Amino acid sequence: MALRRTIIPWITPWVIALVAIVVVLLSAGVLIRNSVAATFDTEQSVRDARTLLFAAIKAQLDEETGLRGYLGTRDPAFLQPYQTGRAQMPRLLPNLEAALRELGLPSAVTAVREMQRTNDAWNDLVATPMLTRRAPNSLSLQRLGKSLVDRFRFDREAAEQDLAVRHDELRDAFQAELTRLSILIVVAALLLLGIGLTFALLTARAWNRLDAVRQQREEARMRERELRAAYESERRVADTLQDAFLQRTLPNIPSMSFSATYVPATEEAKVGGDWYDAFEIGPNRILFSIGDIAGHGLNAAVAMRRVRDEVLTAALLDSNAQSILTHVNDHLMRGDAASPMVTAIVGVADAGTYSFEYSTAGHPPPILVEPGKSPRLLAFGGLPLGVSEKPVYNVHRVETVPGAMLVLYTDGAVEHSRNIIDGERMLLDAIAAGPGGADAAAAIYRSIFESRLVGDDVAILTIGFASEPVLAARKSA
Amino acid sequence: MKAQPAFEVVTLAGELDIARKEELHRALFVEAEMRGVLVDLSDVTYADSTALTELLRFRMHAEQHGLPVAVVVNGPQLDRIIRYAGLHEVFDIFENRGDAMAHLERAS
Repeated sequence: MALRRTIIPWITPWVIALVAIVVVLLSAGVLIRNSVAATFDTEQSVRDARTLLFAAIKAQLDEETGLRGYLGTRDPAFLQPYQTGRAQMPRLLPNLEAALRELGLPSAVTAVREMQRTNDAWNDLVATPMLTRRAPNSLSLQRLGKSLVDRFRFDREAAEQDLAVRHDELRDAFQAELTRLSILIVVAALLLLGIGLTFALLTARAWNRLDAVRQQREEARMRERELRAAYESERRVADTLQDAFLQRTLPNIPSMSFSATYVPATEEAKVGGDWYDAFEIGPNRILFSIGDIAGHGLNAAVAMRRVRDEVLTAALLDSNAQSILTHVNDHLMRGDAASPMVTAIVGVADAGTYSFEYSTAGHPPPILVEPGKSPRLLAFGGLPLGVSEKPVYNVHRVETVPGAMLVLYTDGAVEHSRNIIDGERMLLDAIAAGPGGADAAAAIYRSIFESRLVGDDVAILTIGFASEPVLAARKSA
Repeated sequence: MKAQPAFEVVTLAGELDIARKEELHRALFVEAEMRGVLVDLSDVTYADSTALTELLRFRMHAEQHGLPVAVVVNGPQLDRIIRYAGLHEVFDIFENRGDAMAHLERAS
C-alpha cells in the first residue's frame, strides 16, 4: 500500500506534461494541415486560371486563323474556328477575370480587361469590316489586326507573368509548410523520446528505490527471524537446563522444613543463572547453597550448572563452607578468562544443634527469623567467586533456636525496584508477615511480587528448624 | 578542590546495568603511564552484577600494574550493593573526592 502511495503523486505531473505536449503538437499539426490545404486550393485556382488564359489566347488565335483562312478562300468552312473562338470568348474572359480577382492579382485583372477590350476592338475594327465591307485584305486593316493580336498576346503574357509569380510564391509557401511540418515532426519525436527516456529513467530509479526498500525490509525481517530463532533456541535450552537443575527435590526430614521458589525473569533473554540446592550430608545435617551467575542466557545457565556441580563435588570432599567456596573459586580461576562472576552462599544447617555455619561470596546476606523476633540480616563478606586468585572466605556460625528459619535469596528478590534499601525492607516485612514451613518461599515471593514484574531471576530458599512441639508430635506419631 | 591532572578521573552516574556494560568497559582501563585512577560513583544509585564484574576486573587489572585506585561512594544504596558484593574488601572507598585524592597522592 505504502509503495502505491509513493508512485501516484510522483507520476501525475508527468502525465499532465505528456497530455499538454500532445495537445500542443496536435494543434500545430492541424494548423499546418489547414495551411497546406489552403495552399493546395490556391494552387489549383492558379492552375485553372492559367488554363483559362491559355484557352483565351487559343480562342483569339482561332478567331484570327479562321478569318484569315476565309479571306484567302472565301470558303465558309474556314470560318468555323473563327466562330468557335468568338463564341467562347464572352465566357472565357469574365471567368478568367473573376478567377484572377479571387487570387488577388489586380494587375492581371487589368490585363484581362485590356484583353477583353483588345478582342472587342479586333472584332469591331478588323474582323467585322473584313467580313462585311468586302474590303478584304486591305493592308491597313491587316496591320491593325496584327497589332491588336500582338497587344492581346502582350496582355496575356503580363497576366501569365503574374500567375507565374503567384505560382512561385505558392511553391515557396508550400516548401515552408513542409519545412514547418518536418520541424514539427522532429520536435515531436524528440520531445516524446525525451519524455519517454526521462520517464523510463525515473521509473527505473523509483523501482530501484522500491526494490532497495523492499530488500531492506526483507533483510530486516530475515535478521529478526534469525535472531528470534536463535533467541528461542537459547531460551529453550536455558529453560530446559534450569528446569532440570531445579527439579532436584529438597530433603524431606522431620526435624527440618524446606521451601523454595524460583522464577525466571519475564524479560526476554534474561533467563539467568540463579540456583539453590539443599541435600543431606549426614543425620540432621544439610548442606545448602544458593547463588547467582552474573549475566543471563545460555552461557549463564551452563556456568551455573558447572558451579553447582563443583559445589556438590567439593561438599563431598569437605563440607566446610570456606573450603567449598575456595574450591569453586579455584575451579573458576583455572577456567577460561571469560568465566563469569558468581556470588554464592554455601553452608551447613545442623538440626541437632540448631545452628548454621555458612560463608558468603559477594552475595546479599542471609536473613534469620526466630520465633517472636523480627527477621534480621546476618553477617556477610568475601569477594564473588571467579575474580581473585586468593580470596578470603570467613565462616560465620549462628546458634539459634527451634522454630528458627534461615532465608536465602538472590539479588532479584531485593533489587526489583533498583533501590536495594527499599527492596530489603520489603523482603524483611514479607518474611515477618509470612508463614514458615513448606509455603514460606512462595508466600514471600507473592508478597513482594504481587504487583510488579520480575526484572531479574528470583530464587528464594528457606531452611527451618522444627519447633519442639512439632518434633514431639512427630516422634510420638 | 583543585584537579590533579596526573590522576585519571572516571565519573559515572545513574544506574549501571548490563545496558551500560560497554560504556563501563571503555571507561575503566589501565595504561602504563597512569599514576592513579579515581572512580567517582557519587551519583550512581544502582549497579547490577555485570557492572560489579567490570569494577572488579578493573581492580584486579590495576593491581597487577601496581596502579592505585580510589573509589568515591556516598549513596547508601550503592554502598550497600558494593558491600554485599565484597568490593569494600578490595577497593579503597571514600565518601568524597578530597579523601580519595589524598589517598591517591599518598599511594602513588
